[in-house]
Amino acid sequence: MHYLRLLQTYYRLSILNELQYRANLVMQTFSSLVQLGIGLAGIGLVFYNADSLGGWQPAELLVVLGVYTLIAGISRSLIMPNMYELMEGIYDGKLDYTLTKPEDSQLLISITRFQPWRLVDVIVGLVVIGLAISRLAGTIGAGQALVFAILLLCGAIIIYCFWVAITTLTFWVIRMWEVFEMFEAAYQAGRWPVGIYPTWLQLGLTFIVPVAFAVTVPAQALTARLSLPILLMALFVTALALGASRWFWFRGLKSYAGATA
Amino acid sequence: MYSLGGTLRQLANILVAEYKVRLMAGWQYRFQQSLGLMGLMFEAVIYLVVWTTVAESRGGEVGGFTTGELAGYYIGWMFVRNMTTGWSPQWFEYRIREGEFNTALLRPIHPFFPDISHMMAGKTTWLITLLPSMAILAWIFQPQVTFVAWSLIAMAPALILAFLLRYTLMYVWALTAFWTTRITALFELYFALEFFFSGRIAPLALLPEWAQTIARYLPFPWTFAFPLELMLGRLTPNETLFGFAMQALWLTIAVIAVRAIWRRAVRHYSAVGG
Repeated sequence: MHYLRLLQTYYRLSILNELQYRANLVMQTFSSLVQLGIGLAGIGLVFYNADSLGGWQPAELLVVLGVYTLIAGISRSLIMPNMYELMEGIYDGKLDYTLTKPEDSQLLISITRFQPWRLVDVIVGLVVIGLAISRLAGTIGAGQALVFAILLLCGAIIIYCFWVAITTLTFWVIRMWEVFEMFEAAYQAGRWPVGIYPTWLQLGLTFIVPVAFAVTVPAQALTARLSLPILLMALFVTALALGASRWFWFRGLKSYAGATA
Repeated sequence: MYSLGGTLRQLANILVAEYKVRLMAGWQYRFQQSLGLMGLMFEAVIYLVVWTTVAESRGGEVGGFTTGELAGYYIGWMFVRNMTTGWSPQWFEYRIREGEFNTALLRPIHPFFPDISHMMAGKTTWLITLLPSMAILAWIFQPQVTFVAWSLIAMAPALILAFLLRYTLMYVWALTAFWTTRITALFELYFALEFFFSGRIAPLALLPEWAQTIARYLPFPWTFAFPLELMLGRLTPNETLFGFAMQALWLTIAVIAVRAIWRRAVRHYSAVGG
């Protein structure tokens, strides 16, 4: 309860702050629609030239695009703004203010910033997934929906842990912007099912940049491609990621010199 | 006394000096800078894999490209893409906000020129990751290219013109940062169109007929697909001449636009910071 109140306070502040810039909502919507257009046109172009892509039908690729957009929305509204804030805090020592507060430091750095307008992508993603389901089978069972929701949550958590670990590197490495850019770029690979890539790249997209668990695996749950071992592995990787990122964060914190350095 | 030769030589000296300074400044961060190129490489690999998968499902060919030729296209793609990057409006906005433009405007030269040198220095640093990556991808994907001598020679001017054209078009967009950053969404639309019509998402031959026709009259293919297909020896002499004509036409339009907008932009500029 205590943590929920903390979350509520921080998010309320972020929302109040963003409400000053309401025109950004219009811009974000336009930008989300452009990105959706790129995704749809890409799928259209593939199926103009072929009947299926690595065994995936048009409506099934729509599911992948929907999940990709949704997870990107979560990442850009709830995760990335915090990571930028954290990185700058480590550079200029503003992290001091966070560390002196009598709360869990990892929780605080994870909830300082929230950009509500970016949630437009989450809505767009859900609409695309809904359309895809109606074209696939019409309905999905409650069990399938539940598994999908769990895997989406796992995907979001894995992405969060990944970014905490990457940003923690800032304690040792300066100029992390380019590293950020690189991983943003790698995430683009998730527009397509990971299975089409060569094995070495699939491994990279599973264990180095967690695109497979964040996008392809939830999409598999909706397209009847999911096996029990993959589901269990997703749960295991999520737990592992949570533990490892937390350990790494406190390890990095030990190297923090503060504003006076 | 005024002489065109003298002015040009002076300009060339400035461009070279600026290039050296920027190269040395960037070289300190060569590792981090070269990572900036990874986005570009990921894009190439993603679409190479997508179109190879499509070609394989059709028996090894799509839009006149075999899987080996697709690999050649996307490995060349990386090189042409590196050579034709320009400044983004976001970078301009940053420079204005931070007051960096104050110094740029005080210098007795149009920032357009030193900015070119700055860009070229970045491209040089990028080659450290670009060339080995191209070699590794060539080893993995086994490209198949039949080089044609005249076509390769024609590629050099085509690539330079493609760079100048794309650079100038992006400069036009970047200059809008002097007024507002509220139209970021419009650049996104522009870059989305470019992504489809320039030959980046796929070789233009894979696009539907109507889209190929539209592309011919837009600036996009002439900033990207044209030098790339010349490199791969896929164009006829007539297509090549048409390409150069379109490059010249669009470059003229872009230069006129930059000059007109620049004059208004500078008048509008009010300095920030110090």
